[in-house]
Amino acid sequence: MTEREIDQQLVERVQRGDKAAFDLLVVKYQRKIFRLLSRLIRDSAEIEDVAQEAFVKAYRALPNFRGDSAFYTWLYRIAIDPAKNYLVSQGRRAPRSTQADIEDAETFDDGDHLRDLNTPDSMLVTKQVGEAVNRAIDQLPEDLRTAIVLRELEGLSYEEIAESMQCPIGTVRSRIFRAREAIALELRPILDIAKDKRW
Amino acid sequence: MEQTASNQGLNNRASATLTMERISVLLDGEMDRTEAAAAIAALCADPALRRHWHELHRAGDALRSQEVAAGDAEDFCRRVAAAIAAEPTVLAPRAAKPVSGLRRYWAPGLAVAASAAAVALIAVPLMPTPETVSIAKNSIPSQVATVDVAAQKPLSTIAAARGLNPSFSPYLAAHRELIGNSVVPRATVYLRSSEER
Amino acid sequence: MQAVAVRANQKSARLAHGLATALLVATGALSGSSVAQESRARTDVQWIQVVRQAAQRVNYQGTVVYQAGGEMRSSRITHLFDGTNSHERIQTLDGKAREYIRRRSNASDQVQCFIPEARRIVIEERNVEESFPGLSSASPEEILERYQLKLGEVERVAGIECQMLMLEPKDNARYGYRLWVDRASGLLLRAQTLNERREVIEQIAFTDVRIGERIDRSKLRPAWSTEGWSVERSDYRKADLSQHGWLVPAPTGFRKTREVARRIAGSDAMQAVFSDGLATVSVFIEPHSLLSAPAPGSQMPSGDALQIHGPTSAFSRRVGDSLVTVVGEVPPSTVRAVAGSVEFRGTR
Repeated sequence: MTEREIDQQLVERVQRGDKAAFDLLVVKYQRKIFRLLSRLIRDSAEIEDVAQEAFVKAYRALPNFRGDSAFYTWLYRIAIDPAKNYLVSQGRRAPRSTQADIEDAETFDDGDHLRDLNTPDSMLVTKQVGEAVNRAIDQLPEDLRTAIVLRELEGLSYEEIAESMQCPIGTVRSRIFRAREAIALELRPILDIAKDKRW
Repeated sequence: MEQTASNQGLNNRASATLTMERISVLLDGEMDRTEAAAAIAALCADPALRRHWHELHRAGDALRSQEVAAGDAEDFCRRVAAAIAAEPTVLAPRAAKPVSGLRRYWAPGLAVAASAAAVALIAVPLMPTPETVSIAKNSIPSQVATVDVAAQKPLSTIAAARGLNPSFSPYLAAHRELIGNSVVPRATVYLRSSEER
Repeated sequence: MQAVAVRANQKSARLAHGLATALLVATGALSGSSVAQESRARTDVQWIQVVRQAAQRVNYQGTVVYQAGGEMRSSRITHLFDGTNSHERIQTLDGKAREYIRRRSNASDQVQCFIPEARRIVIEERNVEESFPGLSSASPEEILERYQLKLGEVERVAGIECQMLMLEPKDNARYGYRLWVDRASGLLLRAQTLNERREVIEQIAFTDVRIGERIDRSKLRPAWSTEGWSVERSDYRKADLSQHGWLVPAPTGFRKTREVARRIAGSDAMQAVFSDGLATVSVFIEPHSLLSAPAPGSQMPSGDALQIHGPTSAFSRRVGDSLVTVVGEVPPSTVRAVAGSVEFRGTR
């Protein structure tokens, strides 16, 4: 199984009428779409509006998705359209989207260009998030740190990580999970407003 | 495997069948198809489990970019979920399996044969009329089968030789204009006789 | 070095596995009973929703052949959904050159008809809100009150596996239908209209089609440059027939969807449109249009004239000195009955 096949399963569930499955896809791709749009749109409120429009359009057009391409590639095309319209309405020209753009969004660079969009409040949160992540990572045992970096920043599969770290896949699985957990725990007090959030 | 206090804390709401660790594995796509289907079903049914899905994604996002992670992603996801909830539910019978290269809806060489076959399957009126003759000349092969593939009866030839009285044409045009949206495409709305418009 | 080799082998192993699975799916070896189960699990209401949604939301391009009443016409259709609007272009492939370009959203529906030999564009604007609220299309439940849905076999149309659906009329006021629906996208690929003897009186079918592909918007523009062409707007406006004294009861199992005032062939007329979700019936009233005797050799339908052509029935009748004409894709008895039920009560 690959991530692409998971996406396909989620899409099929949505196509059978389960909207919660689409929410899972939104959570998964929200970051990528934001980063993609931030290349074209400077206003962060506008990015959110365009991103939301993109997801809603993707939901409506889902019968068109047949799994011939990756879900993200298909979603990308839907997202890029309103972004270009937005630019046109602002009197700007959209950069010609190329395969490089798609691949670029797939690599794991950071969203540097978002930095100057933030309000003082969110800049504080950003700083706190950065500190929390660093704290979590610093406190991790080295093998957990290596595993999560190889997975999230290098994009290696479990098998490849197991090979690279010379350990069983089960160990890889557990290390990645525990690293995520540690980061998630540090983030909770900063990003959660209420204790028992419902989805 | 050491169980730290923090690990136990986060596992408080994991269901019996789907642990947070399995959600982490699902996130990476490293699960077999059957288990993935069950895990997805569990996620879709339980908002608390979806919370875990969200938190684990957020951890990875934060690692990559603190700015993006700091943005109000939760709020955004909730707003999108609300927008989707308000949409008419999308339904498709079955998603296609990704079969790259092997799925071909239209092979150029076959198209002619396919359309000829479709045409041949529909009975042409047995009474020769001017319309029939011109149709035969243009597009139907000389051998005409009279059995439709699915129906056992040939296409009716009721009034085939007579068109509607041309005086009905404006009514037909006006009627077709306001046909609205039927399950049957009635793309006939557009496939009108060119005398109408 | 070793790691790279291992990785390469794994990749090719994955590739081989993927192809093997793909072959099995393509030959249908993996489908079989599980798909049949899925089909049965879908409710009747959902089937209708699926087909209706797909018509709006699925991208497709292909060739459609329409056959009825001894005529056959082919057209090329391109349809794109961008998340909000659907865009459609239909080009006739025989007879006079025509193109119809349609743009549709939840609120509006516009068709532009291009008539190149007259250098004319006719625009038909259907404001969806002007039809009675909520009645622009019948609900699946309403359709199922009038038709019984049955699942047929899985058959191929234009090379695509389709689920056949039968919609059998529950009374004699309407025709029956067979629909072939692409199992993957829900798109209707072939439709047949059947009369009371289960004879096929109309067929619309794709002979080739590509579904779900990305469509460039340039494919939705007309073939001609329309500079200097005249633009006509199809002219009708909302009307209330009862205010003019006319009583037009709906045929059994049909519901009124619009009432408009317009001109037909140079005369003032009113039109009431009824639908049962699949078929449509229009009732035209031309008040006082028969005051003067028709000119000799004119093409006015005289007296009581009933005609059918393929799936379409038409009937004309005098009521006082007004002309009532009923047209619809229904059996002739229905148009005759509707025309017979039209009454003039007089204005207050």
